[in-house]
Amino acid sequence: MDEPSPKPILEIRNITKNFGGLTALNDVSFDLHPGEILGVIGPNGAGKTTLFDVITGRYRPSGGKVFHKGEDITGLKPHQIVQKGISRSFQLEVLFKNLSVFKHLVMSRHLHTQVGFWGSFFRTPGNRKEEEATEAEALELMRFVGLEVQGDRLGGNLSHGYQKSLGIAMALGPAPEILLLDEPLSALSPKRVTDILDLIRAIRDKGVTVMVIEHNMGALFRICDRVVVLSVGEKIAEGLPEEIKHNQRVIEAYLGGAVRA
Amino acid sequence: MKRRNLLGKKVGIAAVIVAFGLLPVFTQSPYWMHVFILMWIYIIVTASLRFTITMGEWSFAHVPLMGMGGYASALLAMKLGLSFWVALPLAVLITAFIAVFVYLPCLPTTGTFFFFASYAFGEVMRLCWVRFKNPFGGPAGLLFIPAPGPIRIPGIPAIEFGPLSKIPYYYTVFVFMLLSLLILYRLEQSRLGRIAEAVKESNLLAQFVGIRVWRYKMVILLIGSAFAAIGGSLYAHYTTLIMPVDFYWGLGIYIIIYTVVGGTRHFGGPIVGVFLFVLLRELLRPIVMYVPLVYGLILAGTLVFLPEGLISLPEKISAWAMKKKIAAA
Repeated sequence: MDEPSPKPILEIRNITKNFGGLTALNDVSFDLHPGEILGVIGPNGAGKTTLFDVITGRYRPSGGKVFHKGEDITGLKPHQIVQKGISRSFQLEVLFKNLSVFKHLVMSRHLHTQVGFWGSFFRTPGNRKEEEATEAEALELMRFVGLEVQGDRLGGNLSHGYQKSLGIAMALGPAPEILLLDEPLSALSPKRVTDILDLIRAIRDKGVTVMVIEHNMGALFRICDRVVVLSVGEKIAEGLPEEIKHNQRVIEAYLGGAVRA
Repeated sequence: MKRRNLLGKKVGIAAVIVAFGLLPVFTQSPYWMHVFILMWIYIIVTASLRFTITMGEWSFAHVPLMGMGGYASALLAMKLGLSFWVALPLAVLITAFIAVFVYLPCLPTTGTFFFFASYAFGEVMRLCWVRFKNPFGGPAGLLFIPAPGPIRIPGIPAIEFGPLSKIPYYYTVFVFMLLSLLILYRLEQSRLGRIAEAVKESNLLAQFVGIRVWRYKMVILLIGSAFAAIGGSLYAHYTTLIMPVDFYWGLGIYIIIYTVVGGTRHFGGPIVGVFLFVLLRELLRPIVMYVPLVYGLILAGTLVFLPEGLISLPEKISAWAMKKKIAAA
């Protein structure tokens, strides 16, 4: 692997997040470098999803800052974060349950659809053309994540595996520079795991920087360039997958907890 | 097959419009004219309520906002001497402006909370009309609201609005209803309608594909309020008197019943709902004290047996016939 470029695309600086008396994140800092796949691992309750929620504007951090290409984006609203080119998927199926897969992907192109209100109201020919372009992009996305056969099915009727793919496709719709994936592999069959890993690689090869939360460490270590380990809200290690595998604190965080339980 | 179906639908809708357009030719009984004039007004109000429901929140401030349209239009006509034709568009703008402040405190909430918050702020508006005799007239409301000015089209005699004939009112309200339905339908088919659908399905996911959920909800609520105001203004200038009690919470409940029984998923749902209930009410005149009971039973029955509303009945029947055919074959 070549040296990570000196200028990080995303800087997480001293992020702290309290929910009442509970500290979900405590003074977490690390960088995301352009073009890499960064894995974020940690036992249950380590604060991984909260970290994503803070980066993407769902929660405002209690302390600390997030910088995107040097610009402070702390506390921006989710739709503003998406406009900056940072997009995310969800761990649990957050979908439009009564909309078809195709309609999902048309909506995912929202930011890139140049349909004016009046054009859309009067159905002008120019507007029709724009809509066709959006529909073509939606089809392209569907093919890219392997949902081309499922286009007419409703989001709520898809199997778990397809819902995961749809979740990733929704996050790709805004054409992000940085993609945050929250447990894209959970509860998938080994065959689907391989498919999704290939998909993540393909996304990276298109020039998107990827950050992945995952429990399935074996699978994650096959694709990621670097790993950050969280435990009970704190960063306990950061490094190459090989280093992390042999890091004493990481082993303790995982096995120690399990033994005591 | 599908295209022919669509054509059939268009011909059917055109036939219904022409039939009701010609209604005054067959009956000029003031009683039936009155029933239908009110029906057209309720269709405007109910269809616009359904439009706001497409984004997922049920507003209970809709009827008070209709009243706001009525009061604004009546006061503009009475105090400033404006013609109905000027007062109506101004009343629509005023109502939309007030609606911003009614819905601002409601919008951080969703679901049941939104429903009750909007009820509270609607009720505040209504209590203002009761409380402030000047200019709203207190509990007795406003009397002697001027009728619309005559319509002058060169070549034919001027069309006068007055107590002698209800026909000019009938056509005026009918045309307002058709235009309102046309605009609401086109809005629902436009990009705004699709965004509403996404917002209804998941506020969270909608935000993360870049939709400004809050802003779109507000826009949709304001459009709904504007059409409610059209209904209110027509109501005020037709009946020539309005009282706070005309827009009490019970009417809000009725309008919701019309929408639910007709079907919220289809554009035509509230139209079917209003049509059936208004006629039913006329049939039940002899036993008027039992009307709420009958409405309640119909609502309960619809929720149990036809959760998508009466408008889904043909679909259900054809699906059932198809099943039988397959079973027989």
